[in-house]
Amino acid sequence: MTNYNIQAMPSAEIHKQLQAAQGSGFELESMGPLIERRQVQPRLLTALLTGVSQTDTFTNDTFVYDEIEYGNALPSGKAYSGYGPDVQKDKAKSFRWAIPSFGFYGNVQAKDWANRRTPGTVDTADTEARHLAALNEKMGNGWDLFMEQNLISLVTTDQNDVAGGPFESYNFYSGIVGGSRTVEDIDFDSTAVDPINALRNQKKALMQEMIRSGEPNSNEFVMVCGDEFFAERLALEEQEGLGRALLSEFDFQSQEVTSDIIGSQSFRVDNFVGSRDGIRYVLYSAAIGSSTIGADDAYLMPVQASNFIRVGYAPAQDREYANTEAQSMYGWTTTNRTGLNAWQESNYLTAMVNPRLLIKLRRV
Amino acid sequence: MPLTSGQYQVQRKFLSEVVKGVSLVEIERGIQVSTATVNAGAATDTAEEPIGIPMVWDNASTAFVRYVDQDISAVTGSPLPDGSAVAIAVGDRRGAGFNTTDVTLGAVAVPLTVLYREAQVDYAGVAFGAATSGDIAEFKQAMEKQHVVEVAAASDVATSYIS
Repeated sequence: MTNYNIQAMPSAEIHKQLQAAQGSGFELESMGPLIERRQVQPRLLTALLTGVSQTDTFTNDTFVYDEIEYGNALPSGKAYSGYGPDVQKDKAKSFRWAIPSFGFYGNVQAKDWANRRTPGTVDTADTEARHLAALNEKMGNGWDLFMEQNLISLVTTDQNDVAGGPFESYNFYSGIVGGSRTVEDIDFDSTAVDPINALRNQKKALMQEMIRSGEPNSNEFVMVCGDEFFAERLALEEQEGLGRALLSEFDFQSQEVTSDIIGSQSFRVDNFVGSRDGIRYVLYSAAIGSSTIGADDAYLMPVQASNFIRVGYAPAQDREYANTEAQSMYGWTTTNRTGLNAWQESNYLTAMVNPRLLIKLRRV
Repeated sequence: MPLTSGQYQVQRKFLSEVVKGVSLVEIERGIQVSTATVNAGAATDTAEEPIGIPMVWDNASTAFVRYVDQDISAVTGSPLPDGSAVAIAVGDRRGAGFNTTDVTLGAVAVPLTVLYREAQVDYAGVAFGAATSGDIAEFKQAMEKQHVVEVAAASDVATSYIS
C-alpha cells in the first residue's frame, strides 16, 4: 500500500496582508503588489560624448584653456649663399568661458510621513528616509537628464544650455571657428550624386579633422541621426544585397535592424554600419521635453574624443568648498524639529572645445 | 461597501508640497510665528483638502474664505495678530500638516490652520482654482508683504525613447 503524504489544506488560505475595507472598519481587503512606473532616462549622447577623460575640475568658476593651431612652412629655392624664407611662429589663443551654476532643492516635513503608511504596504509606517531617498533619486535622475539635454543643445545648436539661469549661453562654433556652421545637405533620392559617396566624403572630412586635432582613436566616430535621416539611410542599406548574392553583413530587407544598449537603461538603440561608407549610423529618437535631434538631421562626431566636448566643473562657493578643486556634485542637508531640507548643486559648462569635430548633415 | 468600476484614491497632499520652510524664530526658539488657527467658511458648502487653499479674510462673514478675485487691499478686520489679509491653509483644526479627510467650508465656519507670515511656499501645491493669473499675482504679492516668500517649483519634463 502506498502512503501519500497529503497535507490538509485550510479552507481559505490567506496569502496577502489584510487591511480594513474603505468606509467599513469591520470588513477586510487584501492588497496586491505595488505598481511602479518611472520615466525613461535617455542618455545616448552622455554615453557617447562624456566620461572621465572628458572632464576638467577647476578651482574657480572660469573654464580656461589654450589652443594652438600649427601651420606649415615650405622651404623655397635659394642661392647657396642665401638662407631661405623665415618660418613664422604659431601663436596660441586662450579661451575663457564662465561656468554656470545649476541646482535644486527639496524638503521633507515630519507631517509628510506621520500617520501615513508606505505605499505598497498595508501597515508599514512611512518614514523620512523613504521620502528623502525618493527625493534624492528624483534629483539624481534630473542631473542625468539635464546633462543629456545640455549635450543635445550643444550638438544641435553649438550652444550650452543655461536652463534659464543668469549665465551667458555661448555659441562655441562662432566663438572659436567664426561664422556659423555649414550644414551638409544629403539628397538620398539624387540620381546625379551618389549619396553614399557624399557621406563618405563627410567621413573623410571628419577623419582629417580628428587627425589634425590629435585624436588617438581617430577611427571611432558615429553618425547620430534623427528619425527620417536614419530611415532614408537604412532604406538605401536595404538595397545593397538585392538582385545579387548578399555581400554585406546583414540583409536588412529581411532582418530586423541591429540594436544595442547604449547608455540608456535597457532600451536598445537602432544602429548599423553602412556597408559602403563604413559609418555607424545611430538612431536618436529620444526626447527630453522638446529637446531632441531633428528628424531630418544627422551629426557625424567622434566617440569619447578627449578634445571635442569637455565638461568643466567649478567648485561651490561656500566656506567649505570655495577655491578647492571642483566636485561634480554638491549636496547639503539641514535638519530641524519639523523636517529636513536638502539642496543639490552642480556647477558645470559643457564646452565644445573643438567645434570642427562635429559635422552637421541634413536630409533634403 | 460597493465600489464603482475603477474607483481609486489619490494619496493626500503632503505639507511639504506647499510649505518649504517657516520662520527661523519658530524653528529655533519654539515660538509660533508662521501659522495660526482661524475660522474658515464659504458661501456654499464646499469640500476641500485642508492643505493648499489660498484664503482671504471676509469681514462680512467673519471667516477666511477661498481667494478668487477679491480686492485684497480693501480687506479689514482680519483676526490674525498682524492683521494679515491673506493666508494659505496648511492643515485642519489639529494643526499644520493634518490632512486626513476633506473639510467642508460653508456658512458655519470651521477652524483651519493657516500659514500667513515669515515662511517659504511653493505655489505649485496651492490650488488656485478659478483665480486668473492676475489674481494669483496679486495674492502672491500680498503674501510677500507678509514675508511669505515664493520658492519656484522645478519644472517637470516628459521623456521618451521614441519621439
